[in-house]
Amino acid sequence: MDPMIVATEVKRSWTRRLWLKIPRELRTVVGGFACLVAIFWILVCIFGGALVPHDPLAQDLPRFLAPGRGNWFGTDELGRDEFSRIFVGARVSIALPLLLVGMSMTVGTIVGIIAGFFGRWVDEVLMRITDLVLSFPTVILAMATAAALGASLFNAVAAALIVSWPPYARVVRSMVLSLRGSNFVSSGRLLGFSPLKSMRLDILPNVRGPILVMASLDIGTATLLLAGLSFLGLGAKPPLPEWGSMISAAVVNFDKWWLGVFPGLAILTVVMAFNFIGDALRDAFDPEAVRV
Amino acid sequence: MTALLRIEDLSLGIRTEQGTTPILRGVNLEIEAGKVQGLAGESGSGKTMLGLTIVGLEPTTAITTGQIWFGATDLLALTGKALNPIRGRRIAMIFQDPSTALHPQLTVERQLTDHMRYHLKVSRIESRRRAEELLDRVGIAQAKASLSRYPHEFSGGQRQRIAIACALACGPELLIADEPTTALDVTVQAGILALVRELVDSLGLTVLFITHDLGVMSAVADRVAIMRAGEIVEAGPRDQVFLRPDHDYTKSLLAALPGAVGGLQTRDDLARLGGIKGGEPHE
Amino acid sequence: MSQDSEQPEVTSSKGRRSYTGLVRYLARRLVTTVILLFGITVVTFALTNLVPGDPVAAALGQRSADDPAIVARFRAEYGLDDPLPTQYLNYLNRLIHLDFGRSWQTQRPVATDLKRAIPATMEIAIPAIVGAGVIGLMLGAVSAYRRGKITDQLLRLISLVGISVPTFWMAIVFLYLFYFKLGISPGAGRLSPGAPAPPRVTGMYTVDALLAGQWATFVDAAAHLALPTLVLTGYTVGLLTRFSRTAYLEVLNQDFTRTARAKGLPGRTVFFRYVLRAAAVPILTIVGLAFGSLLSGTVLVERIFSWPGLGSYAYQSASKLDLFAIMGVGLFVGVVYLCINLATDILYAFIDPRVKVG
Repeated sequence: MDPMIVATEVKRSWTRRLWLKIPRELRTVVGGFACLVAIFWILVCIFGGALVPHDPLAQDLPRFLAPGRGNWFGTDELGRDEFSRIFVGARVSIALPLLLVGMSMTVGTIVGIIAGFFGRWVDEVLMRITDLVLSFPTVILAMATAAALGASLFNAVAAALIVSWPPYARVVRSMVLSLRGSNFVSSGRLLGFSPLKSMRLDILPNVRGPILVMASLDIGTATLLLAGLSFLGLGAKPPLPEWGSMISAAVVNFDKWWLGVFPGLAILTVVMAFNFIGDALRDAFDPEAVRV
Repeated sequence: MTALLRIEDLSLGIRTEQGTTPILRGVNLEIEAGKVQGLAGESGSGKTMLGLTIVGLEPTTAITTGQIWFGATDLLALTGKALNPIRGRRIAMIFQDPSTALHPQLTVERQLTDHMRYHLKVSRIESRRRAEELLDRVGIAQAKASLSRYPHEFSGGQRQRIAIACALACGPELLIADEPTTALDVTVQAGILALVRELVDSLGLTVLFITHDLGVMSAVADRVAIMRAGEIVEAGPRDQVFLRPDHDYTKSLLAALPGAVGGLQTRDDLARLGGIKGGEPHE
Repeated sequence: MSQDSEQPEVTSSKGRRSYTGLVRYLARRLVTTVILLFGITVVTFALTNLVPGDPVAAALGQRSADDPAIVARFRAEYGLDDPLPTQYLNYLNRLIHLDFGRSWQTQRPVATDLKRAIPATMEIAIPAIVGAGVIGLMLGAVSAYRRGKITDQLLRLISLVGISVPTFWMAIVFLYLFYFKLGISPGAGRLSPGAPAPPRVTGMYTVDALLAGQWATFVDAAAHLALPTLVLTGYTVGLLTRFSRTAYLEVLNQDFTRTARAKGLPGRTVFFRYVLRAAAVPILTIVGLAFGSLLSGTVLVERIFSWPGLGSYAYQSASKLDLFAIMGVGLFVGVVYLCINLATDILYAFIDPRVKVG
């Protein structure tokens, strides 16, 4: 098909050009809002501890105070300030998923590059392992693993890592397979690049973009998975403030709506913001999917 | 000399974030009944978009002005459903890549007959009989057996023949052929061109033949229009445009042809260019 | 995709497609499934036996593990002193006889517990996947057809919210709203307190109640399952809308869709005959995946609705480190997942005539 657009050169200021570099979806009102939410939570993550009005662990307030002046989000079953716990909990509930995504991206990329680059039995073995992990629903396998390792935050992340690297490995492998046949990789090898150098210089830069997009879409899933494990008592242990485990307190006292609603809203806003940004990045990288 | 289709001052722009990108700028073209009207131009000159606009398949982000007169109907004024009785029935279209133009999961029979049954309200048995005739007509061997096969079981050239059969199913007056030979081997290409020519001569079909290949154009077209950046720069009978071009752009295109160093002088030069013998004009 | 041979391969005098290729394809899928099945048992075996920490302590609980007599009996019963390959073979042998071990928490064989839990889960999971499938695929189609328009943007936003809501949170909010505040829902559990369960046939209370002709019990059971089903549906709809939109868009951009439109066929025919058929393969995969994630979702949702299904069982056993029980759930869900994948693969073969080639 012919590319039908006839280029019309329009003079634009550098600010305008910079603005247009931002993925289109993020330049809308909703997109801007999503960015603000993400930035807000990252700031809370960093400075949360310094901003809160109460000690998140101190049990010095009346129990089950409804939201009001002084305790905007109410207090929990032990008389702790919900607002402070949510803000301090951001560190665990956001930073850990980010760490998790970073790790699964790294592991998956390494496995995928090795499988795709060396092919043959290496590929076969690694891909069967990938298939195997993918043939379990994630939460069930993560639960089983977390239970087998013992309930702790560290083990929850380890269990989540075990279930979340395979999609990266698959995508990277297929990209490496198509790259391996391309001329610039062959010419690199002909210049005498070692496999390691070829992977680093010719292959890695080309898989980086799509993988980062995939990772940004994965942050939401990781947040939900870790919060879910903590909710089930397989992650964060009391008294550490963490959103998922805070919601589990609301199951017992579900008539005290503020116990569940606020940490849930925190998770929802974080996950939504990251999902939206991930979507926008994907559209920017893969314009075929939305335009035409 | 009666015009089957008359395009008047057709302009088309694609809306984007930064405004409208013009694709067609005031195109005027008359397509005579029973003739092959060639439309040539470089990639991006807007020739495909012109073909799509005639059948109302331009992108949803397009803005159009002007008229496309098909008889007494302005096609451009018809929207959505109103086009269906014309599209596929009176104006058919075939596309560049026959490997993707047919649905991979439907049998050849299904793809040949579904619009026939919708437009002409014929029975299943009748439509199957006609489909078999059509396949035979476009040169598919074992027409009856081929009906129950799937597109992937045929070669590229055969698929393009099937696509042509699909287009002919409802007996259209106008066939828009958008680069129908570009994706094919040279030998297969000659067969398809001969088929198109033969259909015009025997059925009285009118064809708008879109291509970037002037060699192909010289072999098949009666009249030629040259398009550049959304405008038709030159149009006329084939020999006139090829042998006595007016416009500098046409001249430069012709000069760039490998078989025409020093310009085309005679009809014999033209015949060599198209790779077919005895270029009798169809004027 | 494009197999360019000059002559069409003539498979039989009638030109029907060959079935040997199809059989070979199905055989290959079946072998893969069996290999993965073994893989799953290796994983559960490894998780039960090789994890850091004492499996005896994990299986018996710390208190019993302090009693040497119990430990010795346990180790002998499960052959924990044998070499690992022998242990694995014994493990497989037990699995074949549907012996998943004994849950120390319920003191019953895990298989017995599973038999009770599975119908309860299916009673909410099946309506949820069917409902979500219908709604999600419809919304996805609307979104794809109106791409870029306001409807599309709205639907994309809604489905984004759908996949971003923590299911367990949605369950709590719904329970609070519909049960506590509005009193529309009868609340947690499968039946109202004191109501007798219908005579067991399938284990699904609504079905059993109908079979027994107990209309009141049916209404009660249906009212109880409405809310958990709604929560599971909500999450899955978001997922399916998003993925099916992408699948439809891919097809809408294909040349053959343009050909179909150029034939002048009405939009409905183009959608059902051409677009839906081509999108069916990716969509089937998506629905299979969605069912898996739905089963994951039941773990969290059942806990909140005190729904005695697989999810609750998995949660209780995981939180008490009841390893045999949690591996039983893992095995069951893993096998269900594999079966779904196999079923979609088989369906492909019938949807797409090219499958025998690949």
